[in-house]
Amino acid sequence: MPEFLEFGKHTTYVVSSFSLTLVVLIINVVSARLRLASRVKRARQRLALEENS
Amino acid sequence: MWTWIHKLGSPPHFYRIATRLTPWFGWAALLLIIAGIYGGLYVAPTDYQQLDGFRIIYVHVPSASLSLFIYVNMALAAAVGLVWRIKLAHAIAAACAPIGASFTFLALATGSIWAKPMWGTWWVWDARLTSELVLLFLYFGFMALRAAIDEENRADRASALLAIIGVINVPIIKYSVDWWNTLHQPATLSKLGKPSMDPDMLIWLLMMLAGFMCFFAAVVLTRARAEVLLRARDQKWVRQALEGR
Repeated sequence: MPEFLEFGKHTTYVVSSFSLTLVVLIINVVSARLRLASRVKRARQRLALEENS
Repeated sequence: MWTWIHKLGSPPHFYRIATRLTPWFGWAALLLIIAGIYGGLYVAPTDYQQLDGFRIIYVHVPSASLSLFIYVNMALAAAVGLVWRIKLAHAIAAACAPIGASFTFLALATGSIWAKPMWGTWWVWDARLTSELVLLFLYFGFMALRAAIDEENRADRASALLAIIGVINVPIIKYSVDWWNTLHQPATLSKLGKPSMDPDMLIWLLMMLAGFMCFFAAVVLTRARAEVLLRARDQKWVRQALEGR
């Protein structure tokens, strides 16, 4: 374990809590952005379809 | 004031404002969370009783506070949607649920990791932990109900009712540590006038809390934009909004 991640006898608990938090935050950002991108794509397809018809 | 609120209730106006605000909240969240993590891990002094284990507070307390804050916001939005039939309010309620569920999960998981070295067990069925678990099930129930009903208006109404009824759990979680004997420590943040933490420790906790709030704002605005696009019936503003991106 690198020295900057040493927290005495509680290292495992502290590092795993912060790591889990970062993972959850990243999943939140990625899933929200993917959802918006997919809705934008679908809205564009719908608009293109309307233009062609 | 009322004109501004009325304007904000219109999907095109909301979409424009949300698009503009999201990066501001996103960058503020990033800076505050990086500073909060650094301060919480390396600057805040070690606790004399819990040693470095207390540093889990910097992710656990903001997650737990957000889990309640988001639920109250979701229920308020659902109530506004139900009473005034504002579709945008239902879209915001729907956007809140997965974020709230993830923060509730985080509060339970980091609390459990913290409990192991301090209490000697991962989990106890006491009032605070159990009521927080019920909150997670309320979020899951809200999302499952929406997913189970195909017709949008019915899904909005049914899930809004569940969200409003579930609000009763919020004061139970908040005051569980005062009402019942529990292993969980009393509230950390409700006594800002007379805080139970040293200011050198508290400042980083407040920074993390502000960071998490900004994070929630950025993510909920992104999700709400996706919801608004899904519900858009008037194609003209959608075209203008997408061209303006």
